[in-house]
Amino acid sequence: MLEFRGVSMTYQTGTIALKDVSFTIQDGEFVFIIGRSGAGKSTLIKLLTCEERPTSGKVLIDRYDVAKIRRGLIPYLRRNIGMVFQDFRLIYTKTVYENVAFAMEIVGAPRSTIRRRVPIVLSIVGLRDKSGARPGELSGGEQQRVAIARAMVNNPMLILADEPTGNLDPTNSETLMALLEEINHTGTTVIICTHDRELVDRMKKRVIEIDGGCLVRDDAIGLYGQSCPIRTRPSLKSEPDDELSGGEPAGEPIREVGT
Amino acid sequence: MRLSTIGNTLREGLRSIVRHPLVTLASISTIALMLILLGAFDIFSLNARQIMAQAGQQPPIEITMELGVSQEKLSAVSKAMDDNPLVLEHILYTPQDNLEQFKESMENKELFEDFPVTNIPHTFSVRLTDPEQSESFRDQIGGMPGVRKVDLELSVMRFLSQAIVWVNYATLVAFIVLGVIAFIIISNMVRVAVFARGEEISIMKYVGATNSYIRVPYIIEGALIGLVGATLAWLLIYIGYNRLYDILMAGIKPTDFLAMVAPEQIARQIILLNLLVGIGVGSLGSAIAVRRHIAV
Repeated sequence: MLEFRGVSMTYQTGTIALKDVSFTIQDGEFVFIIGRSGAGKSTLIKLLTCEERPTSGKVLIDRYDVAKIRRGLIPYLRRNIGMVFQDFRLIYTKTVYENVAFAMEIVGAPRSTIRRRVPIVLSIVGLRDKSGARPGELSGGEQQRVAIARAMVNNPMLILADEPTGNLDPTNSETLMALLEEINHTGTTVIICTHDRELVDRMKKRVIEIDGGCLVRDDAIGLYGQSCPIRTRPSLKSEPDDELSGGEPAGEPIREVGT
Repeated sequence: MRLSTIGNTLREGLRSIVRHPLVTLASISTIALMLILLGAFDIFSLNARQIMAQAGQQPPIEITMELGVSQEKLSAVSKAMDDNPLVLEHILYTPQDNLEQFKESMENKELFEDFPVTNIPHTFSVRLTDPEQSESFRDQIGGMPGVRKVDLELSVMRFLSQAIVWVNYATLVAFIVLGVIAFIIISNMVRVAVFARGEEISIMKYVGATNSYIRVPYIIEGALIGLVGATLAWLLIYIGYNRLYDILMAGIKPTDFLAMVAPEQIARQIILLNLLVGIGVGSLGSAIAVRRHIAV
C-alpha cells in the first residue's frame, strides 16, 4: 500500500509544490495522476522515488516513511519501484538484453536467473527478437517497451510511469497501455502521470488530479477533464496518523474531493 | 557483496576505461607524467645520497702517531682498525711518504731536501662506512698507546649529513606536491567521466543501485588508470635512465665515489614507488570525486 498523509512540499527556493495532499493507493490498483504542467505531479513522483522528502506529512510506501528512511535504504526501496519515463532513459551503449539484465545485475541476481528471466520479460513486451539490438536502432514505441521490460524485470510492487506515452503515436500508446494493464492484472500497482486526455478517458481507471499543489479530485473511475458522475474514491484524511501499515481505506461513504 | 555483483563491478570498471578512450588516455598520460617527474626527483635524490655517502667515505680522518712510535704500537692501532666494523679502509703513511707528499705540495721543493725525516710522524688515513660515526671512531682510537691525535674534518662530515637530510626533505616535499597535483588531476578526470555518464548514473539510481555499486567501478577505473600510468612511467624512466647511465658512466668505475646508482636498483625502487603512488592516487582521487558527484 502507498499512502500520502497530509503531505506538503516546499522547495528551498520557496516554491510550494504540494499542499496538504492525502490519498491512499491499494496494492494492485491502476491509477492516473493528472494535472497541468507545474501542478505538482513531478514532485509527487520525486517523493515516491525518495529524491525529495516532504516538508510535512507522511509518504508511506509499503510501511516505510519516506521522510524518515535512512539514505542507505533508499536504493532497496527503489528496487520495489519500476520507473518508466517519457524519454525512455535507456543506456544507449548497451543492447536491449543488457539494458534489462542491468536492472537485475544491480540487485545482485545470479547470472543463471538473469539468463532465464530476461528473455521471458522481453517476450512479454514483444521484443525477444530484438534483444541484440541497441536502443538507437529501435522505434520510440519499442524503446518504451524496453523501459517497461526493465521496470518489471525485478517484479516490483509498483510501476511508476511519468508521461510514458509523451513521445509515442496513438497506436504505440495503446499497445503500451495494454501492456501496463496486463502487468497490473498480475497484481503490480501501476501509477501513471500523464497529460494524455484520450488515454485517461479510454482506460476508465482511477484518476487523481493535482492542481496548484492541491489534490482537487480523486475519482474511482475518472475522465480527464471532469469528475465521473458514477463514483469517486474515499478520502483517507480521517484515518489515525501514526498507523503505518493500515488496512483497507474507509470505503464508505464515497465522496468527491475538492471539486 | 555477492560474487556476481563483484564480477559486474570489475567488468564495469574495465568497460568504462574502454568506453571513454580519450578521457582514459588523458588520465593515464597525466598520471604517467606526474610519476615521471616524481621518479626524476627520486633518481636525483638516490644518486645524490649515494654520491654523498661515497664522498663521505673519502679519507677526511687522519690519525697522527707520536714521533718515533714503535712498530708494536703501529701494529696494534692497525689491528684495532682491522677489527673495527666502522672502518672501510685504512692506509699507513710512513714519515718518508709524508715528507714526499709535503714536498710535492710546496713550490720550492729543494728547500726541504735536507729536512730530517725523524721530525715527521707516521700517519693513518681512514675511510669509514658511515661518516656520521666519525666522532665515536675518534673516541675509540684516540686513547690507544702511540696515537697523538685523530683529526676529523667535522665541518665536511656535518655538511654531508645535513645535505642528506635536506635532500630527503626535498624529496618528501616534491613527493607531496606532485602527489597532490596528480590527485587533483585524476579527481577532475573522474569528474568529467561522471558527468559524461550522468544519464547512466541516474538510471542506475532509479533501478536501485547502491552508492557503492555505482562508485566502486570508478574507483577500480582510477586504480587501473594509476596502474597503467605507473607502469608506463616506470618503463620510460628505466629506458631513459639506462641511456643516461651509459653516457655518464663511460670511463667511470662502478666503485668510484662519483658512480651513479645502477639502473637495476633504480628500476626496483621506482616500480614500487610508482605502483604505490599511481594506484593510490588513482583510486583515492576517483573515490573522492565520485563521492562528491554521485549522491543517491
